[in-house]
Amino acid sequence: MEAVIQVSNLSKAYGSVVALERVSFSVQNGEIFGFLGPNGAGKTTMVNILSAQLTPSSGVAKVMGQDCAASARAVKSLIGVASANPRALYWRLTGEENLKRLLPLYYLKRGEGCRRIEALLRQVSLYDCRHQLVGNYSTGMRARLMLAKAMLHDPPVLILDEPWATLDPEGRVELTEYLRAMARDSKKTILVCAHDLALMERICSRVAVIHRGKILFQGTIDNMREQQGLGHVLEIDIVEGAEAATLVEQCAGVFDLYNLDAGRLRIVTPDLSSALRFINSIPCDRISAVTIRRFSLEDAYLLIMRNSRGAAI
Amino acid sequence: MKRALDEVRIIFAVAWYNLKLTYRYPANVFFAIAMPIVFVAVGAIFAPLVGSDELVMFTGGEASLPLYMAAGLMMWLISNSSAGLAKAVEMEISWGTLSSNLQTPAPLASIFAGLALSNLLYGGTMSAIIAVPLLMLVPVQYPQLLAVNTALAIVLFLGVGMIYASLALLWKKVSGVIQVLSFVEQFFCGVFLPVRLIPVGLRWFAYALPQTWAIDGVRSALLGVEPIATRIMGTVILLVLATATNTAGLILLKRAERVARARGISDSY
Repeated sequence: MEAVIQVSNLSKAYGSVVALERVSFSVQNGEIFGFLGPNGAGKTTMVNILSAQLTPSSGVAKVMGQDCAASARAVKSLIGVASANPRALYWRLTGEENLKRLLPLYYLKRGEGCRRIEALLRQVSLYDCRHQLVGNYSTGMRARLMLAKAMLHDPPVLILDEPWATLDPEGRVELTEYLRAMARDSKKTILVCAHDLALMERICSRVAVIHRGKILFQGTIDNMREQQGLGHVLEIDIVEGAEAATLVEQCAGVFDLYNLDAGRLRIVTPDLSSALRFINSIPCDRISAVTIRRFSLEDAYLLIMRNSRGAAI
Repeated sequence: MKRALDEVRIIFAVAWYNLKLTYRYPANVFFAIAMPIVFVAVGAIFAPLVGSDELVMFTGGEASLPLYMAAGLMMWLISNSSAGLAKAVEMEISWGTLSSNLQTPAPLASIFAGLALSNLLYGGTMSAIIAVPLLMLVPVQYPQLLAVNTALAIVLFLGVGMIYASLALLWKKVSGVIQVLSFVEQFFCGVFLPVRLIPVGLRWFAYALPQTWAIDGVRSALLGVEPIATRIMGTVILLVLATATNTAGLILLKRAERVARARGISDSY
């Protein structure tokens, strides 16, 4: 079966700046695919190419078999994009007007479109404030309106750029569940770019990690964990003034470790008993807190990033 | 046919909602009301100073002052819509809303035509209150010709607007330059003074501008004393130029869109 999104050897350069370099990945029908990477990694460039707003320098990006560069109009009918930029909405129009304005632009009939707008506004809990100007909305409300905008023409493919960034905790959970239900029940294919790795871990079946325009990893989250070493992570907060170097020496060659900041160490241990043994070996006066947890997507991501930079602590 | 109707729906939707949001800025409402008042005030103050008869003589002795003012106001509005479109495109790019429009399958030319129409209507709604009574003061000899020439002038300036909008799409911050260009163009094409008052050595430049033919077309239908055959010939030339300007505008817009899609339309990449 052909993938819904198929990207092959895609490169994009802005003059001498290479934003994407020979990127290849595919997303299957009904899949939620995560696109991870630091700021400036090339995620937005990828979103712009897939939404047919930007042409690649070389390579091919296809959505449901349609070339994003050559068949821009066909691709635009197939995808809905929720941009991370809240200014992509008209702030001097109401929430409802922002959506109604787009009906003819998506070639939707007014009657059918208005019914869809009402349903969407109810789904994203904005129906009661549909007559308010978007400029008076909170950032979370704008993010939800952006999602409704992306779904206006009921596209089979959704591309969401930082959908959780401005939502409150309750909104984040709601959106996560909503996306899961959409992929499961409506068989929507969803590509999400985000920094919130815990939420990505909850909904994405596969992820790709991109850095400086290159894909460093792609596969399932379990693959990612396996590749980076399954096990447990110790987070150790060091007492102010205590030497981190001796702790580092203590686990050098035994465990993989990386730091978050100057006062905290993260150590990857192969199993729980190794983690406990290591904690027992540290003098209590040098640490203020210890946390033991399972290896997460965030740990795997940070290790991939660290390895790509060739950085050691 | 269905496709053409769909494009018309796009143009009207963009124009309607753009007009709505334009009027939600208090400064824009103020401008729309103040501009025709200032226009009439300037006429009322300066006409007695110059002397209405002298001004009429100065303009070729073709018609009365109210008609001359009405023609000037109409042409000023129509010719301003070209630069207004470039400004609107620049604002859409800087807000980030152009990107939202480009995510839809709607053609860019229809979206821009909608913006141009809203610009025209924005200035036109309030100013029509002034222009229409002025036009009613003196009966127009060929109202049908005036309507046709005005429509063709609007279409021609839409083509010029597409050319300006293409420049805005390519270089993003160009509205300042276009405002200056637009002012020079309005001067030479006879918005403020008839072309015959421009020094002879510069008249070739005036007639090289398609806009001059648009202004001449409207003014001659309104004020002119030429025989009807000459006026109809002017209308034919205006039709050819309106078609040529729009064709050039659409070709340039397609090119600009292609370049912008390669470079990145928004600044946020």
